[in-house]
Amino acid sequence: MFDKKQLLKGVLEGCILKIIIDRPSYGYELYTRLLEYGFEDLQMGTVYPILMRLEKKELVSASYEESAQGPVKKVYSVTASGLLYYESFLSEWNKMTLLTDRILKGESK
Amino acid sequence: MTENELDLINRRNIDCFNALNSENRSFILHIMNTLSRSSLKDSDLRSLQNDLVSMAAEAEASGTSLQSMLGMTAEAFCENMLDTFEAKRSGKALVFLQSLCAMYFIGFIFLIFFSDRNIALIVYYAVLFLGLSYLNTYMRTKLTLRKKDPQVWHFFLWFLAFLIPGLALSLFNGFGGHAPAVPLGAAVCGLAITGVGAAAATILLKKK
Repeated sequence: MFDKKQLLKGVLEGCILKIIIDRPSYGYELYTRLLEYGFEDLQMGTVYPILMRLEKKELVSASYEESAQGPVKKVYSVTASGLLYYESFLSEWNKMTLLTDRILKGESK
Repeated sequence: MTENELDLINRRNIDCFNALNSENRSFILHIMNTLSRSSLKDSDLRSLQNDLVSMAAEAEASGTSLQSMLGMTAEAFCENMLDTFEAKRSGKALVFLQSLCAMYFIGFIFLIFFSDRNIALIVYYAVLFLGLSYLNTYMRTKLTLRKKDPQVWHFFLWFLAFLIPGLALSLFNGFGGHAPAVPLGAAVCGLAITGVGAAAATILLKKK
């Protein structure tokens, strides 16, 4: 059986960045938006480490927002290097999908 | 964000942590205990700790648990974290030493029932075992959300307690008819081995 996890790993980083570029979000909000996009069997436990890694690589930055429920909420927004990273991801992604489509759909070179 | 602001958030999250239900608290502690033995950096662990507390509070507010929110067990989450950060699952040295001492301790307790073996060795390994257990707990709790971290002076007490059996036995020419140098030598060697073990464990924990 094909291991979806490996495929998701690289793709999710770009998707998460795009969601944050569109609108600064906090972790769980971001996760629910991924679910809405159709990543139905995705778990928050998979999303969170990626989000944390993006923050560590300074591609996203976190600010803290007061919450009525008690703990402060960590809101992620994209950084300048995050935008550049996303652009290069998008360009590579477009190339990659073009190439894989050619192969998988049996198109000529 | 300044250090002070971060410190305030940490303190606030400690209060929030204490307000969580026991299921969420133990789930977070389980994750922190597991990951604090890996090569993940302290700063990453603190950040994770704060985030988990926030998520757990949010989960409780919506009538669910942190485990349900993450959609996986603590072990699976730790594996995900370690994979994503390509962190080493190191820091097991201390646990190994602790287990070794526990085995010796139990072994010598059995021996004393069947022979007149040196009781000093039992005391020696008991102290060693307790000391290592304490050190291990310290390593784990220094990153977690318990309010009172073990203090450094506890270590000095432990080292003193560790040396006392050896010194006492060397003065009174101890149990089992050993020469005075034997228990003292054993205590000093044990101390050195423990020190090296603890240092190695610390380096492994800090190493990235």
